[in-house]
Amino acid sequence: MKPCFKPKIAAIFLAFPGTFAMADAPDEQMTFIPWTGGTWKSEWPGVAQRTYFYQWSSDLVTWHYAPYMAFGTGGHEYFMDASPEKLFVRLHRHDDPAVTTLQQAKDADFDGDGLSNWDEVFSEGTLPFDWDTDGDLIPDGLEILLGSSPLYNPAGDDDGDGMNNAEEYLAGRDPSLADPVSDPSSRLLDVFNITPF
Amino acid sequence: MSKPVSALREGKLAFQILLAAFGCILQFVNSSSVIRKKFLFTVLPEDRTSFGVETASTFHAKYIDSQTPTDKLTQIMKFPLVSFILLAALLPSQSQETAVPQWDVEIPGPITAGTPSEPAPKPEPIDFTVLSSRTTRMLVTEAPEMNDLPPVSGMINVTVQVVEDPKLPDPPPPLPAMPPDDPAVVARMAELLETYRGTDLVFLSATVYEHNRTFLRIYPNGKVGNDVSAWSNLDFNHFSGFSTYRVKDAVDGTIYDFGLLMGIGNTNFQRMREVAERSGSGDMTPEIPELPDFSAGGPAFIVVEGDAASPAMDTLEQIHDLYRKEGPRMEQAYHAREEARAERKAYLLANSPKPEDIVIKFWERDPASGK
Repeated sequence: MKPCFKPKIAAIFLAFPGTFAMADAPDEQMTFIPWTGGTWKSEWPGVAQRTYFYQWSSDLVTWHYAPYMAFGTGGHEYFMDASPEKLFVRLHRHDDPAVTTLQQAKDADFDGDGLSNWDEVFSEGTLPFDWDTDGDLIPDGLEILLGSSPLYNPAGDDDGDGMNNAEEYLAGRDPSLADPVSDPSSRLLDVFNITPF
Repeated sequence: MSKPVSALREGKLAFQILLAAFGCILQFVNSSSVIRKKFLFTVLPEDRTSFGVETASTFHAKYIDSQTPTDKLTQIMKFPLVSFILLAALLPSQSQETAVPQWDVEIPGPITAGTPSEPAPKPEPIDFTVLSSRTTRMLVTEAPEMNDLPPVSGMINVTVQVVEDPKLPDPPPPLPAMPPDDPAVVARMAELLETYRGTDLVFLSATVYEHNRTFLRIYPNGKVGNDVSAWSNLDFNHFSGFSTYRVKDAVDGTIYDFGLLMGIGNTNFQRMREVAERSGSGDMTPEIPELPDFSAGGPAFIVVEGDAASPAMDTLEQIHDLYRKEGPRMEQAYHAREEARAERKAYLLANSPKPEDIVIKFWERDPASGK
């Protein structure tokens, strides 16, 4: 692993061991390039039968998945334009011998939570390698089926306002906002405006 | 390539040691201050003509009390051994250069005075077509702009969008590499080498006490082993706001640039006593050797540990000569920075910053673009 730091945005390649280790495959080096108009380009050489996820973080502690997946050989490239002055990105690779195409990788469910990998990174915002994103012991897919949020543990109190997430969720309040009255955007639990490709 | 001071040092070393011994004996005879066994020698540039040695940065024995140098010499001549040492010390001084400074030290550029730099020009906004957008709220806590302010915390909107390929033109490709034996490359390299001076690095650790005494550790080019420790009567907080100082050899005019990499800390005795009291570790305040105040006689330092042959000895002299020349400018810039910092801090306390929302747009290159 070789970190590559840029002035404002840093790209870090981290390889997470998958369910099937491709011992002979080298670790890819992602290159992060300042691009036209203040945008950024990431590129890396792909390895056969390997699935790639793209992650970003603003604090190097919490990592989020970008709505993107890539698969296999070839020169992969991905572009971004970001508003914060500080942002970090990295690749997450996964090896699964049963997956042979990008579509299979998207349709697969690597963490077995009932949601496809693509749904997790593209529409739900859940973690494709954690069957219980919010840690409430209910699989993410089941929470979607039950109509609850897979992002908030019902017993937790993410905004520290004294009302747990489940109570807030049932009351139509935002579990991430301590004072819903003073902020009209507090009703936005998660805003999805997705137009599939 | 010898440094401007190295040649002189070689010829002066014996002389300096003798003077150092003489200085120690002076101390002993007069009992005016405690002799510290690990002292190598003491340098008081402001007293540089005490013994008729007029070289600009010649090392002198420590000689600081109310008596004049003449009185002191008369008193010392009563002791045969001391007289011999003095004689031995003065003889080599006849061969020293006359009052020609060994070097001229200056800061070649401006010193940062706390004026914020102009923000970088923003690129032209790009017209993105958003294909999908997802917004979540997130509690974030960021480090404050200044270390004595509360962290910047709050809920932000995080918007992740997938956009259409804006079909931005590729940046210009890097110029092709040319073979090193290409005549144009050779000519350009020769041109660069003609004016290339290089920059030595001075690694300096400074602990400032009460803004009027600084304990210094100097590591020439970062190497441990020939480092030198010294006490200075300067406030090394003034040695910031610039990265390079320049030494010009007074003899041949050769110019040397030194990059100053300084780690600095400030402390005071009250704080040290409080820490010692809390931890029960006893008095932790260092014993600071006697030094004249800067206001009384200019920059001065006392070496407490190190090798006399170390290049750090030159560095010590040069940075004190630097302050002798540039001190007013350095101090003025320091106060300007402190004032700007205080203003900024007051502003941030009155207008608590909030973490900014995050908007990230991702896209893949349209295969139809053919790239």
